Amino acid sequence: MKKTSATAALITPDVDGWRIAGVKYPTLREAVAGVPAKGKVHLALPCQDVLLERIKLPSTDRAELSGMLQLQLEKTLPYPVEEVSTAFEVLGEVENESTLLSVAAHSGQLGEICQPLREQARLPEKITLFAMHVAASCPADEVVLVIYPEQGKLVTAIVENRKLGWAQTFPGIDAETLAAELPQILLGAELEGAPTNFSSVRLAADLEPLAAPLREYLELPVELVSLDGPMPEPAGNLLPSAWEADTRRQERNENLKQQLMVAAVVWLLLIAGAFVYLAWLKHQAQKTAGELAAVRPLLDFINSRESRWNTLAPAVDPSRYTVELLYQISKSLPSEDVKITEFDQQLAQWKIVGEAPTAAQAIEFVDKLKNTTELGAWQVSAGPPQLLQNEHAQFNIFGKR
Amino acid sequence: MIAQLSSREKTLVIGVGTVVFLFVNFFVIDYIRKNKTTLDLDLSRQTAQLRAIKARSSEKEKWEQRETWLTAKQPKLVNDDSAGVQLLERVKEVARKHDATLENPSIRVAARRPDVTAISVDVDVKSPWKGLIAFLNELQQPDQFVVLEKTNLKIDTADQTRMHGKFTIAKWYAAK
Repeated sequence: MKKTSATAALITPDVDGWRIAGVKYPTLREAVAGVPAKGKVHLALPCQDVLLERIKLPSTDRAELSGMLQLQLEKTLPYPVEEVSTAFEVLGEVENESTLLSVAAHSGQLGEICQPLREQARLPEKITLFAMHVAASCPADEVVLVIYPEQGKLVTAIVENRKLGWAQTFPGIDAETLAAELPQILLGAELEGAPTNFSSVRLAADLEPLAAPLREYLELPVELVSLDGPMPEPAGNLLPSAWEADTRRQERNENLKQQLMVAAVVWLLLIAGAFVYLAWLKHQAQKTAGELAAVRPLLDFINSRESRWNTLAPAVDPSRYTVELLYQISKSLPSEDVKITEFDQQLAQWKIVGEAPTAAQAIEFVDKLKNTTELGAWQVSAGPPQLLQNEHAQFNIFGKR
Repeated sequence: MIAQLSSREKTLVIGVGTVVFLFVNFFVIDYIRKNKTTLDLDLSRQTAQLRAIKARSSEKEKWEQRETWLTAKQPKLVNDDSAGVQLLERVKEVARKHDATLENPSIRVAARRPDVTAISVDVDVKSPWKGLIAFLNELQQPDQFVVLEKTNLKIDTADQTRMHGKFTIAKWYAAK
């Protein structure tokens, strides 16, 4: 027997309504509303909503017992077995015979009970019988009579070694009703083969006034127990198989919804991040523009001074003087045989006309002028040398700023 | 609500939702991409300009010194006519000093430009090469503000040991 799953809320029948971990709710709708949104739901049914049958079957194999029980139920149940969810508990085995208690719940009735759960898309993942939870909480190796209230009725349950062996409900939770009904109930149980030689009696704490009459009638100690605490989980699940598929589909849909939500959040974060990045870029651009605006007057100041200097450079910069230009040109002559016949200069351009013994020397002169660092400010160009009648090469070289 | 839809309606809703999502994405991403490109370009251009200006700002002192020097040294024109005569006298004096012969001297009308006022003289100079170089070297000194606006040098046809130069020599005064 397992304890109730920590993530599942066990909804159990109460004296008048329903109960979750000791908190009472008048209706199942209100009870399920009290379950946290992500929490799973276990529903423990009251005895009045199921059919209990104590049966002896000639087998000890659980699979065989299951088959035999189906056949048996087909005979005894008032509706088709396909419309019934069943579970059973083996109470005892003797050679090739087993005594078991079958629990059957009609799917239609389950549907009515669980309608508030279905409307809130909170179908239970497990449906059990509350009496089986109660039985599981009893001491081992004992036959115990348990009496507790369920939704206005009194449940009399016989527990054999922590297993529900028999149960019956009757209306009214007063001492007079109990005194009147109990002898017949126990007689009925005995006739169905349930043991009545109880080692103890457990009474729900809500029914404390019944303790004295019970003690007097049964001549046994009566232990008051609370049914509000956590209950052990019994075997078996009365959840219809079609509902399981619904539950799984709901879970899948829920998972898909969550994944889509996560994806949407990630997407929104990415978009938000992109916009934040854009805002940061804009801020940086504005900041840089501000810095530019701040230093622009300095640039304008330097530019104006530089421009004035450059304008006056022919007068104040020795590297622009005619004598310097002539020096650089004469320094670049490849040999004494290369002669300059004319030099013409204006402020922004100059021209050299000359003769060289060969075209190669003329070209060499041009190359030297082009490669002279001191003439780097001038753009030197020349057409091809013209060959003269004396086989000398005449050249025209131009310099422009 | 979607649970109440039929399978076909669900497919339709998902299809329409996907198309709308893709459209919204397209426009949002396109908006972000275009803005990022523009801002990146702006930022890189401005950063480059800023870096260049900061580099240039280190030259501020140099240009301030040059400006101060120019303001202090550049001559101020008092009289156009006397300035032309003075320049011609200076040219003659330097020519005499270096055995250069001056021919056809003439004083031009003052040329007023945005940055300078130029007082010019046209002269022909005949001189050996060395004398010519010395003449030019002495004529153009930084604090003289003398510019050879036009120069034409040839070997003198009458005496091939001498050079024949035609010059427009100007003195650049501060603009008024």
